[in-house]
Amino acid sequence: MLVVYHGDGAGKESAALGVLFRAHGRELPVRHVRFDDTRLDDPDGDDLALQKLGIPSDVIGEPGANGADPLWNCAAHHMSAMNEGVIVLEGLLDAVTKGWLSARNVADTFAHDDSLLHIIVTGRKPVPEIVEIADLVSNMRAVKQRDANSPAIAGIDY
Amino acid sequence: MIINTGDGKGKTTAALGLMMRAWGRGMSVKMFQFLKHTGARFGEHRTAERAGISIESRGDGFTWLSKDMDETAAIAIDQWAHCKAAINAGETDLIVLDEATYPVTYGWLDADEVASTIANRPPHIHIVVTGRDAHEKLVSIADVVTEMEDVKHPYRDYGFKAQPGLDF
Repeated sequence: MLVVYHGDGAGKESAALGVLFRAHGRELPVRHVRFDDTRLDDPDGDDLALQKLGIPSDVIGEPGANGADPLWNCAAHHMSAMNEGVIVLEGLLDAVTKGWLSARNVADTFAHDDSLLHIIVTGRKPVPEIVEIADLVSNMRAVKQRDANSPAIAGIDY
Repeated sequence: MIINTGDGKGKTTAALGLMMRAWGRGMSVKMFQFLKHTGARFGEHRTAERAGISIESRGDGFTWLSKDMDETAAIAIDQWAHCKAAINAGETDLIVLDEATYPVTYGWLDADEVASTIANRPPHIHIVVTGRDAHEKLVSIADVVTEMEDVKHPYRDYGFKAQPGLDF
């Protein structure tokens, strides 16, 4: 089952975390993978909560000299090791949008997963190849947002 | 104040994730669930219990199953009294009012009273309200409103059933 949370509004990452929280309560296997290494030295509320709950999490950063394949292989490895439960691929859509990963390659991996695993991908812009094969897609639409100048709140925004 | 509304999936789960994030930062968090059964043991209740997070559910299940609407309304009014006390006490950093849009829409709770209680809350606390069709009086006092728009929904589009640990 492939779930996509995209859009400009708040709630994409928190919805994905919420599903992990539920699945963890039911003792299903869970894992979190983040496609963004900018906060490695400064864990945010999400990282701290995952640590406190003992949910395994990985950070996958910008592709190095060998391109993005090793990054994607790492995520694909985690998926193939899980036959059920939930894996969150936070920021995957953004990694595709930025050109780190190939949309076709990612969509093919998802399409070949016939396990009971729930795969949740998040990011701002929907990727057509991924949306097409997804089972559930929610667009988080920003109806009202805080002033762009108001500072982000620790524990709420990050 | 944050509202997660819309027909799509992710309203309650985003509120749960927000609670988890705040809890990760060491903030105090609490969730009040309207409509869902008193004593419900969904996945979120189980994790919350282990994490020492309080989720108080007061309800008799979803409304279209209710046999006695007066009773359903009375439970919602009682739940609101608990919410209001917690908001006014100002001891909890983040309070989630899950599915709270419905009792307001159905007229069981007075929209003005709910909106003014939230608007006049102690300034340091954060409130999250979830549910479809958020009342305009709630939207007008919110800082952030996200509409979860249903692009593809498996239970509607393919007739799948809700699954424990994922949907509840």
